[in-house]
Amino acid sequence: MRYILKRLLTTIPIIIGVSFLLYVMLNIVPGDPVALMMGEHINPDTIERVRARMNLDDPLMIRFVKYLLDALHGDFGYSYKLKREVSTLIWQAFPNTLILAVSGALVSWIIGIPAGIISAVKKNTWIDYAVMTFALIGVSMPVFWAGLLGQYFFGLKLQWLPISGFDGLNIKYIIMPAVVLGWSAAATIARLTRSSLLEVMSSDYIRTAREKGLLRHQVVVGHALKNAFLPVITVMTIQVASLLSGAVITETIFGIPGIGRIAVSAIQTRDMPLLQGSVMFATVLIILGNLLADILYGFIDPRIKYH
Amino acid sequence: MSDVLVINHLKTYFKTKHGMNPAVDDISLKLQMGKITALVGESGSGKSMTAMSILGLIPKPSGVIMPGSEILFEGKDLTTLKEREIAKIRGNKIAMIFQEPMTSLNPVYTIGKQLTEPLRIHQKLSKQEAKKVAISYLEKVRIPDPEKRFNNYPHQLSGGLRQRVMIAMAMICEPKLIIADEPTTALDVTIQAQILSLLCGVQKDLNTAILFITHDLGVVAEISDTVCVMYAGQIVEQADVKTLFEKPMHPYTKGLLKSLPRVDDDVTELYSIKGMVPNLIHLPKGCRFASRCPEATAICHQEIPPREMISGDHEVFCWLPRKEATNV
Ligand SMILES: Nc1ncnc2c1ncn2[C@@H]1O[C@H](COP(=O)(O)OP(=O)(O)O)[C@@H](O)[C@H]1O
Ligand code: SF4
Ligand SMILES: [Mg+2]
Repeated sequence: MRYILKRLLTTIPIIIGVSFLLYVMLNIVPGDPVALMMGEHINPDTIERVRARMNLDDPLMIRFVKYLLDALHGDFGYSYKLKREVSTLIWQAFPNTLILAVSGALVSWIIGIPAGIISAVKKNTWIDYAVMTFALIGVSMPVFWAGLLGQYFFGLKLQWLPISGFDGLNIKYIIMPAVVLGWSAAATIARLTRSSLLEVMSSDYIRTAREKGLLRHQVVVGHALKNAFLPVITVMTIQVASLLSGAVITETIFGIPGIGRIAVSAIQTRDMPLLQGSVMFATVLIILGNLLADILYGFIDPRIKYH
Repeated sequence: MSDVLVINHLKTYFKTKHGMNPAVDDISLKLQMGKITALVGESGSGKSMTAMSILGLIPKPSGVIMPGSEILFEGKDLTTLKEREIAKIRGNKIAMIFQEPMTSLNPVYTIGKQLTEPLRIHQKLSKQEAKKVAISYLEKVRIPDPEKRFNNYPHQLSGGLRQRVMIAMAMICEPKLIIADEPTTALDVTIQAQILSLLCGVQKDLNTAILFITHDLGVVAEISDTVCVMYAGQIVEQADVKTLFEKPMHPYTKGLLKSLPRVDDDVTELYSIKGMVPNLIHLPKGCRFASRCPEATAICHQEIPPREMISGDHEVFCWLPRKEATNV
């Protein structure tokens, strides 16, 4: 419990620090952001109003603090392009990103973990080689390329699945983006699970377990897996970030209205408040995702709590 | 005296890129009930692989027990048993204690879970029953506060305590034979002595046979009844402990004895045997010790020495006894 609390408390300065960096980066773009955003023929009154609403006349530091305080109350500013509150837009998009990222993660675990275990147990057999070849392809294939291939074969040629679009939890629409997104993560997990399990299997405590009279498969299940998962979980925590950012690309390819698509279209339309809001939100999401994974890790490894 | 385990002509070879490595090469020995037999030799001489051969835990597929080898235990040849059958013996009738107390326990499970496991597998005890037995064994190996330790994780225990847990785990099914592979090597000297006396106590309590593996002859003198000296995969001398220390015959044994530190000696520099263990894949023709042996003669380099029985149970693998016999 104290460990969890400590991790929660250390996360707060990280969130503030990272969002400050992001804020600075997004705000050092030269030129008047309002004019940039609104185009050329606009009346000066409106510009003034918008500048005031965005606190553009304050120094950067003050603006950041105000932004942060507003954000804490759920106010991320106003999108003049879309004529909506940024927070409304984000809250509409967020569930879609979450569904995509979670299903991508599920795919990567459901494929990656068993594949890694099987190829470790069947080390140096054709099963092992087959799994590892697939994994290599998975790791080296860019998300957009996998996406296009999937659309071509399963959407256009075989017509098993819709090419793009999104319909809440409708599995027909989720499955292809989720596999595309989770595939390379699955490959990484499979490779890591394999090597980690092999390393654990050659350790002294596994020898002890065998010497006690446990059979090989009992040792794998009862003694090796829990240890072998520790580094896998660490990598999964790192993958939370890449899954979310991979979701951005996947959303764009498959036309899924998530945070990533919002951010991309905000760049295209130079919609500063929306860009800022969606990027900030995604960042905090990633940090919290990492926190969650860390806490999970603490539950599995008894040594963590005493450090 | 009844033999618990008899090894006849055990050969455990490893396939390597450069050829066959005869890590254990034609070893025969007997382990007697209630006796401690020491297996002594430098690192790499094949002691651990002898032990692993007994339990059928040779690293596969590179390690192979060669045809003609025999390990007899309770009327069965362990080398011919199926995995399922030999698993029933491991940790039950033959248990093992390893060198590395720091890494031999699984870090993510409690001492209690690991200690009760042999009871749960072999005797099918319930959790509650197994816990009772386990705690009584933690007391036997004199671990303070056993109830608390039962729920501890390995990292919460010192090296000495962990080795006590390992001993308790080896004893817990009251095995006929305990193999202790350098159980004190990784511990500091005071703890070493405690663990040794504990092992001797255990051996008396259960009347088990112990195969005590070490590279340290000093330890051997303290605890064992019989000694087998191993060199480059072979047993070069075998005798009861008194004979071996008073009348060593093999030059390698003599060298090991000379390199022991003595209390009555004011020489500060210790004797050590010159040279290195030969490469087992490209073995010399005659005696394997010839290149390092101070008493080697021409024949030693040419022909493999005979196994000579000096007296009742004193056996030497060397040309010297023959030469002495002809000279006299
Ligand atoms: N996994 C293995 N693969 C190949 N050779 C091995 C393996 N394990 C041990 N050996 C060989 O067996 C020899 C004896 O090793 P070991 O029994 O561990 O020696 P000791 O316990 O006396 O120090 C080593 O010199 C090594 O060449
Ligand atoms: S056989 Fe010869 S070389 Fe070998 S130990 Fe005896 S004396 Fe030395
Ligand atoms: Mg060894």
